[in-house]
Amino acid sequence: MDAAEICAAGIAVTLLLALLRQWNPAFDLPMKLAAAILFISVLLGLAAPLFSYVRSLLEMTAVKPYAELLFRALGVALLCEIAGGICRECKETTVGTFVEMAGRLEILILCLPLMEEILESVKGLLSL
Amino acid sequence: MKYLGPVLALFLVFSLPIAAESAGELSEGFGALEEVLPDEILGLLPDGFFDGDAQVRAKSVREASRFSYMLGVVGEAVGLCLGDAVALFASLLGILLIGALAERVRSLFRSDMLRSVFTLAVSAALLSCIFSLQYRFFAGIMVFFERLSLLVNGMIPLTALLYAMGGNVTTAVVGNAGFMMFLNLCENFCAVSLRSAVGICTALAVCSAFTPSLNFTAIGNFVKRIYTFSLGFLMLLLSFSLSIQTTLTASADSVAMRGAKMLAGSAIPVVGGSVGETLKTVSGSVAFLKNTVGMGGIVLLALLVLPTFVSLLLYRLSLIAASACADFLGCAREAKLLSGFVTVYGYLLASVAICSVTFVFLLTVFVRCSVAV
Repeated sequence: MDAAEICAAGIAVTLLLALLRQWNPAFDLPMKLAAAILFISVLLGLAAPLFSYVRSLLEMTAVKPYAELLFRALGVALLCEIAGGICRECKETTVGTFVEMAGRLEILILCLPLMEEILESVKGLLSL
Repeated sequence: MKYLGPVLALFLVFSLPIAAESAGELSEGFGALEEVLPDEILGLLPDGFFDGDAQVRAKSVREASRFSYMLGVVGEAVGLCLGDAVALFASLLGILLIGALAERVRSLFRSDMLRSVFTLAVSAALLSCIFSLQYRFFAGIMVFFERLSLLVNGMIPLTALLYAMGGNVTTAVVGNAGFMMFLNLCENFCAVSLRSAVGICTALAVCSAFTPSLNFTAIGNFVKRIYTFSLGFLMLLLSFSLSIQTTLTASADSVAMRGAKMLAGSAIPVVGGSVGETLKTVSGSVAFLKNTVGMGGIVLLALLVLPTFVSLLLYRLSLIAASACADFLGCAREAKLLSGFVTVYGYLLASVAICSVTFVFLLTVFVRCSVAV
């Protein structure tokens, strides 16, 4: 799927949502969710070669574990941002905040081994 | 600890007064020295340096004393460290590129919670990467200081023994003991205080990276001022005592020496000017050592000090380049963090420079005492 096809699909989905909203507002939210899932899966499919290229580049470097962790944290943050945004759009601000908090907690847990490594290094440095 | 014995043995062997000595005994001493010298230094020496045959050994020492050989040794030390320094720079650049990418992505987040926690993840990754690359090197530097400190401390009883053996106690003590004690103190202060300064600066860099809202600049500047003042004061005392000492003779102030002084002044932080000023005396000391200890001792002395100094310079250059790249990529926090590490390396470099200079002076005084006996 190239950029032109994605643009066309975006416009088509927007028109469809506008029509459905007039016809029956109850379909608005499920359609929005379906469109979001569709676009995310298309985007992930498009980005797949980029991810594999970055991964092959990282294989050759010494920063692979750190980069992997950063990409994972980025993925969690993006996912929670999108989910929180959808929740807010549905006027469920509290749920959105909880989703973001869960994301924050998960990223913190992801960072724990790094923190441990840093503290060990500092401890080792001070005891040299 | 394991190098203390061999190096002391080396200078004892070299510093003994010239007398009728059988070639076999000297060769035996030389052979024992070869067994205990570290492999990395042995690998740099030309073939036959410890040969039993005096002619072969003399040829080898002559070979080692050639300028091209010393240049080759420095080149080899640079070559060995250059690969590591370039690898460090490449790794830092890689993590900085990811950090710059993360910075752009971070601005897409509307949620402050996610933005702050992602910033924390980037800082943790960068710090962890730098520490994993640097820790082994820091440990190596500390071992160098420990070795030097042990060596210097071991000289005190040996010098006392030499004074006692010579019977020329009053002159030797009045002329050299005070200066020797000061040099010892200087060497030990650098070795001991460095750990604290490096530890505090590293801890502050870590704190600044994790909590940018807290300002640690005042504490950092305080530590920096105290440490640089102490080092500067030590160098001032050293320069003063050198000016009234007649033990270390100065050589002519040539154009080359002025160039070396300027280079030392610009390349070594904190104490570069003082080290540049004392280079003249270092040159005089080396000339004295060359005449008494012999060229072999000078070669071994250079091989002990040069690799650490060169590797520190190269690592510091890598960090400066990485800090400049971070600025260029728009990662201000990361640039600040790397600048903190550049400061730490500056302290290391200053301490190694002072310790190396005082080490040369110490050896000169030590050898002169033993020769006087």
